[in-house]
Amino acid sequence: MESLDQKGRILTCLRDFFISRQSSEIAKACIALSHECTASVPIATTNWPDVEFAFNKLFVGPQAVLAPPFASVYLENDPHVMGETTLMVRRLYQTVGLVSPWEGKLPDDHISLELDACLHMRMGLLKSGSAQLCDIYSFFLNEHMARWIPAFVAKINETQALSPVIGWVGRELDNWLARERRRVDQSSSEQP
Amino acid sequence: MKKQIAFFVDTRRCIGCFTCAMACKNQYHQPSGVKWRDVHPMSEEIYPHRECAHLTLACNHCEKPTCLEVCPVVAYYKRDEDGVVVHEQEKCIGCGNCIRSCPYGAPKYNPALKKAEKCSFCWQRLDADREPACVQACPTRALQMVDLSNFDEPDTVQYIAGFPRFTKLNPSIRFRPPRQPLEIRRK
Amino acid sequence: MPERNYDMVKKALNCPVTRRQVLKSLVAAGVLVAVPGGLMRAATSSDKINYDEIFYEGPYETFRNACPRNCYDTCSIVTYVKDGAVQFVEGAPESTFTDGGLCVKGNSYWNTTYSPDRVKYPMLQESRGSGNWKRISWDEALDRIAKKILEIKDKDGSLLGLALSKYSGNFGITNYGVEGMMSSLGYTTRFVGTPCWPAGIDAQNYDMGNMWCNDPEDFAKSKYIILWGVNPAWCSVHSMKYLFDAQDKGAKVLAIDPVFTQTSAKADEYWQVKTGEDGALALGMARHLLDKNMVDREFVNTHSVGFNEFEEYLKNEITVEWAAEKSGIPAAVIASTAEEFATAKPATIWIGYGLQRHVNGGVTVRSIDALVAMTGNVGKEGGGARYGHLQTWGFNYHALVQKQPKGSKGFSGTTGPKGEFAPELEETKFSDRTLNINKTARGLLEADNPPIRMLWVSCKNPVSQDFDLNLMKKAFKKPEMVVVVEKFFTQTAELADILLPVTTNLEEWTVNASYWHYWLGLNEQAVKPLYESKSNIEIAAALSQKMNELSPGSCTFPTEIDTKEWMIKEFNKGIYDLFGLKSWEDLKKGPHKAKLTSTAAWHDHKFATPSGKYEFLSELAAKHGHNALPKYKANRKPYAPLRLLTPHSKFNIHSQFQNLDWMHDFNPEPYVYVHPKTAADKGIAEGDRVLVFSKVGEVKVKAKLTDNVPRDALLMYEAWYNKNNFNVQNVVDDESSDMGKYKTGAPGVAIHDQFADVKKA
Repeated sequence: MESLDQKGRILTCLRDFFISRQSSEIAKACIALSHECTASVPIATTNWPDVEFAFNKLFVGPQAVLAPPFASVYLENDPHVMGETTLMVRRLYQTVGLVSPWEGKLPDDHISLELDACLHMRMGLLKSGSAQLCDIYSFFLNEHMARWIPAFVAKINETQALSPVIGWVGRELDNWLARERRRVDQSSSEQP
Repeated sequence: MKKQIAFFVDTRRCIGCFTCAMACKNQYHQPSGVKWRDVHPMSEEIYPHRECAHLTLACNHCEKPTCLEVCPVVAYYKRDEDGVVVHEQEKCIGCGNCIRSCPYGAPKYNPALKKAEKCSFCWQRLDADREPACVQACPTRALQMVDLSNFDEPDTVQYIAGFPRFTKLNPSIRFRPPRQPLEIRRK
Repeated sequence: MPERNYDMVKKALNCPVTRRQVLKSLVAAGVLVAVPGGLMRAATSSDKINYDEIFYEGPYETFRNACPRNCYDTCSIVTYVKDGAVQFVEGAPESTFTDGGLCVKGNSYWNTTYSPDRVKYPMLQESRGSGNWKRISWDEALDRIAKKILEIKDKDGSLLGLALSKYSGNFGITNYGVEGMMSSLGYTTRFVGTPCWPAGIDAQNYDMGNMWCNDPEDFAKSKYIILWGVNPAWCSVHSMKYLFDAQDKGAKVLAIDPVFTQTSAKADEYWQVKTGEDGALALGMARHLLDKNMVDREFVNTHSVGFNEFEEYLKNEITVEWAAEKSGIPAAVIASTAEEFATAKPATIWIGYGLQRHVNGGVTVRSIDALVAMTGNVGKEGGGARYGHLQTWGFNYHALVQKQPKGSKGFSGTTGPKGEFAPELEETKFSDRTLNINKTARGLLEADNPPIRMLWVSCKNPVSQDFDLNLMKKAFKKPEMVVVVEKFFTQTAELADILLPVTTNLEEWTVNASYWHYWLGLNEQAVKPLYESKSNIEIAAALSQKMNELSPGSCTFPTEIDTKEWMIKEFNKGIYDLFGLKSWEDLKKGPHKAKLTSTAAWHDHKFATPSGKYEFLSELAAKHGHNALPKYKANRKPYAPLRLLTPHSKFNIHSQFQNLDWMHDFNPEPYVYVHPKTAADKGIAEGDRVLVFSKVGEVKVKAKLTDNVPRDALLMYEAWYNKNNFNVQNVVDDESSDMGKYKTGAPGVAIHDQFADVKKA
């Protein structure tokens, strides 16, 4: 991760957080994130198994998830996946030569896949400053992610009581998106 | 008379199963709360057995559609070849005029898209020589697509009891009223 | 702010050609980079890009599927897929029964498959019922399960402490692999029987030697149709067109039901029979036919035994007036209808399953069978005593038939568990231990030597659907481990230790038949299983692999399977001949119908009874503790002022479908239906929240007033509303019906012999 800039590192932590499978992965992502941004929660004394239970209630299941981590659910105002939005996102990935390793078994508009796509696109931009790539990345941030992430974070905030740690990560996601949109909106040759 | 396709609702055969309403959802995936077709039980004043007779209604593709008349951006047009009233959602600005003006409540507000939308008579399916999704799905052939220019089924009406009479619009829909059985009830 | 070219992006998103062009130019410009530790695979240089792999873009692909629910109609489905995702479903046009359309439930399969609330991964509950879940890998899940199984084996010397709760959640034939999995582990405990239709099955077996109904597509040949205790307008929508066709041809349709249903509204005549007194009514009609000499003597003399005894019974103990008093139907009406029925040639009776969910259900079916038989309508096209059939279920049951590991110990009995769908298995020294599926709660609590230490649940939702909810919740505390295989987080899943994600019918290979019509449908894997879901046989194979890793030889289920091959293995010459197939692949072109020599069951009058004839008097029935004749049996004595009926809704198949958002759009909440006079007596107004209560428990729900229900009854449609803890099983106990043990291993349950009271909440 040393080759990434700070925003890139934050992005990686966020991506890894939302795709976590158990408490050790959640902890690793949160701790790494706390190195990059001041945590508003006491990371050192967090009970990670409790965070895991809350994480599953919000994003995984088996109960009906409280904050579904899929764009379609928010953009189509109807709780389902693999619809128009999922396929549109998949097409955007195709445009920049990216393919999800889950090949449709995990809907392409899962937050972690979208964040991973951002990671790839911003790396490409930093390397080349391509206007075309900038258009695509800007579109993805402004016309897609900006339209659902706030609602997603709002859902997370509704369940703050379940886990302040997750609430903090939600806010960092919000912050990251806001800052990244501003940066990309400015000149494409801006330094990170 | 020019070709005007219409829904024919034979309430004698209709069993209120909601297959038609769900077939529409299955085809177009409207968001929660947005139903282009819905099934309404007839009131007990009209049919004395609660929830045992129904009207399945979507859009009536009227001869003089009010939605078309009140749309400020001409997002509606009536097809010449079959009289289907099409809503072009890309043009829609979500002003709500059509939603407010249609007395049959056919145009619905889609909160995700912030635009209106309504039953399209599945015109894309019609153009591909297929039946509308709801018509194809009906298990009793109670919901049919007919051409009013040559429709002559007996015992049918344009305004069945419980269906509002808006003659200026001239809704393209026909109904056959339901029957009741002879009843033997315990004392 | 520089102008961004979003139009280019939108064009790329809508047009695959543009997309390719954009990607090519990005690659050529060296823009794209590999990201170490990235989730997605990136194209970094042109020679590494497989454009075809990235750009799948084609027209619709269609697949053949079948609805595997416990429903008469078992629809054949055509699934439209694009970009590897289901777009919509339709009914198969090739089947005259499905006729191109599904139902309100079938049309919601897209919603089922892509609901974000699906159980996605194997999950472990911190402690049963805590609501705190950890995600675990399949390997860890199976490891825990396998270790528990081995522990039980070690402790008890057998696997009788492992129990299976399974029924009809998924009737795709390969799902019998769950039973097969159990057998492949050893001798286990099985909940046998069926809550569904066992009393009637036994009744038809006593009378005719098998349960076998006419092809429902021959209703149009009938001149008189009685729909007795059945509501096809809600529960077999595809059958309705045949009833309408019959009416159009001049047939009379009579609906007999304590409740005025949607079906009743479509009939020519409706009888509000007193619940549970259908037997009396049928016997009254039979008596009248005797008096009027309107018995088909030719049939009775040539093809039956015991009619003289039956005749004597009717003459001595049954009168039309008595039948009128018992059933609430006037004597004159009983008489004239009996005559009409006997005169119409042919006439038929559709015997519903609700009809036999009573303590006298079996004998009631026997008395209705008798009415059809004595009027010469058995074996006639357009005639018959229609209940169901299993003629098209002659598969290999390859998935089901697995051998116990060598040295397995079990129950010392000679007969294995029965199921009405699967074949009889050969006798062995040991067998599984069988408990009554209709008394699951009791079974879990009371089984001993050994007790039930582990419960595996698949294709069933006992906590939502089985009787006496309070007892069931207690019972679920007993086992040391509960494993539930599920699509959604049901009330049973809430009490699991380990929850395993299962595939929907659009994600697995299987084949489906119906117990009503005569069509066969292929079920292809239309899309890959979502998340980490596995089909039941994949789970079995994976478990076997883990078992054998830990203890070689402890499970005989193959550890590597090809699920498509396993579907193919279900076919045999019998099926091919019956359906006129050269190969299973013929079904890819569409569902096929059995080649029937006649649309009538028993057309050759060669009954499968011990006498080879229709048995008005059945010695076998007597041997099993019933009356040899279909003698009147009284209904259950009420223990509360009102009868409580909990039949099926059109919006769900038990706990499937009502939980979906789409279904909520059309049916948002449950109700109790109360007669207006009953409501007035209790000061209950339309829409009031009320308490339905009995010695069993209570249910809080909104009231709707209607005289569709009789004055002396309450009605609630059983369903699982996932955002609501409404559950009718709070007020339904597990009282048995009279018959069912003979053919299904356990008596049925008197679901409609329940009683309750109601008051404002």
